[in-house]
Amino acid sequence: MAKITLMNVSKHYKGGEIQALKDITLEIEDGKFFCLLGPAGAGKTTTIKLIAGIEQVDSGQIFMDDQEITDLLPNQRDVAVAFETYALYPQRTVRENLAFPLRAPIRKKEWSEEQIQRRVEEIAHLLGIHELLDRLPRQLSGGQRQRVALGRALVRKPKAYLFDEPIAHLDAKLRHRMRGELRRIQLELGITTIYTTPDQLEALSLADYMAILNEGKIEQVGSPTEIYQRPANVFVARFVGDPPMNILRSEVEGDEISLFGLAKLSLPAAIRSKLTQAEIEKSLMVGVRPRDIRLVSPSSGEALLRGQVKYVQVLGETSILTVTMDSHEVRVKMNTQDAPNRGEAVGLSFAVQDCHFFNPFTEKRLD
Amino acid sequence: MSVEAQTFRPISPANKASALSSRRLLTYVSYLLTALLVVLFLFPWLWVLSLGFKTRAEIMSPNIVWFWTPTLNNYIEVLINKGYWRLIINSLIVAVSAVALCIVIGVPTAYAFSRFPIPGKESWFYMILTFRMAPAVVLALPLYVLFARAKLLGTFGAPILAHCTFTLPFVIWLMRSFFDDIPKEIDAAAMTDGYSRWETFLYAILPLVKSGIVAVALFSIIFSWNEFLYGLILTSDATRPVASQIPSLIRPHGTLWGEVCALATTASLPVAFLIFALQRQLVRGLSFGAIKG
Repeated sequence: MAKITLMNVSKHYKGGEIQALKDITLEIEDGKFFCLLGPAGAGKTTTIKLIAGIEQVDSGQIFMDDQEITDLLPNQRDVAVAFETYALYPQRTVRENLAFPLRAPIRKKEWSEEQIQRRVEEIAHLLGIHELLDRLPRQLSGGQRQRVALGRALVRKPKAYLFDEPIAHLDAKLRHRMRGELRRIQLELGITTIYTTPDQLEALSLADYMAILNEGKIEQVGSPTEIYQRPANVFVARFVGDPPMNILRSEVEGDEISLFGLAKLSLPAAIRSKLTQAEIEKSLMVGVRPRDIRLVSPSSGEALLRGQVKYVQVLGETSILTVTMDSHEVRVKMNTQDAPNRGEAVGLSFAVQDCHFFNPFTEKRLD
Repeated sequence: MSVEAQTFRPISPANKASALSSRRLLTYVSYLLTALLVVLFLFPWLWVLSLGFKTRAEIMSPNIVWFWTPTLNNYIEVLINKGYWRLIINSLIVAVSAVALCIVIGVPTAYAFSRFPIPGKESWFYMILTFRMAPAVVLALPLYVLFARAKLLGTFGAPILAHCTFTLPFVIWLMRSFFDDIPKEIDAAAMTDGYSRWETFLYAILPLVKSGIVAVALFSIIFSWNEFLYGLILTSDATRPVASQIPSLIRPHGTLWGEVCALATTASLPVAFLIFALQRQLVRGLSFGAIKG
């Protein structure tokens, strides 16, 4: 178990052409479940590879507890990795793949053959692959291979687990179950875990705390609640939460703002005071989550915006409406039983406390 | 009957039969071609085999002697009386040592070429390859001088090292392509599983190229076995491999064809045996596919 710290870490690929990570500083606390969330190509896998020692940093340092590990080889770092590409040993059976880390010459004294067999069986049962133990990787489906890859990491108890999209290729039901299992194992063992995923829901449901990575930069670090409730910038606001947050351009008029020139909302003084003249002249970015918007009658005085329902997307208990006004679109999430029909005229209402205000230039959160 | 009706008629049994027979014809033709090829390759060897069991008179007869009583005299004369059985041992010593040396040095080198960021890697790689491309004559003289200085002439060391000039580049070149086919993630996985660089090579990567090594070693042994020039000029009578000694049977008063053929037949047996024994590994090694995850 260990705390992992990255200090000003940068990494380029292809002779400096592609910058994968730009000056990353991160501290992952001991024993925590930490998610790295970001779209494809954000640098998640690179971060994992640098921590594991598979790739070398261009600049910056990596620490495990207080020991610098920047230049250590992977086998000197005692981390277990589940690779997104599985990287199973093709000529070895599932059983041999799972036993491989325990058979490493440096662990010869720790594990007897009998202990190895018992541990392998245990992990195989946990992951539901015990019937596949004598098969070769090429005889397995993608989801089964991924579970073997995960098992090969879980089979020992290292200082840290590094999981690179470990359940991305499982079917939805199994993925749901595995999420629960992983969280349970992690809580039981208390081993520091770094987990990458492009799926915000997965990150929100698993993480003790998380970082959002975009184009090699960290956008925000925090607990899932913090990130959901107080996104640091427009990227995070739109990336976390489904459907994404509505971002409305709005003019500042005195101590009021006008949304699309339609609705007037009083601007909180705390935010007003932070704006420079230039920012006031540019239109402000106001974010509202789809589920914070209420539908009201278009003729009611409560209605801030009025529009027409363009689409209704039914997701079981909840539905997502797309409401259009002039050229603008606003998404609303609501109970299916209360949803209006397509083409109906509706009024939209929301409270100013539920609004997120972002700087129009830097797109950073204002309060 | 209208034209349309004819156009859409189902395939008649007669048509089916003709389609079938044309397919069968194709099969026959391919058999015939294969047989032709086999005869083409086997004929010289069978000819040599038969001459080895004939007397000088039968060999020299203007009409081909199709039926004769086989004699072992040529074999006895060349292998035992002349003592040339030792040359087979010499060839074995040279080929096996040269190839073992090249595998031990070449396989790790190929792995290094495949995995490590060596400065000027490709230039080094092609430089090694040019040794393979250079004809033996180019290197023979410098090697002679070098080995003479190093007092290696006449020892087994001379042909063994000389044969490395062509087997080592071959091993490095082919083994690199085997290693290149293995995803680097396998190395990464083994290293994070707790294996050092060297252990990763031994336990995770080497087992994946086993058939490849067998195939490459086999080819190298054949190259070394058939090599003529170095074996002739860098050796003494005591260390000369069999291929290089055959010309000694060409005498001023006539070539001893029977003995040439007896020796050639004997010399081809170990290699033929090796290929038969390792046939399966050879095919797997050459088809590359076996190591894909």
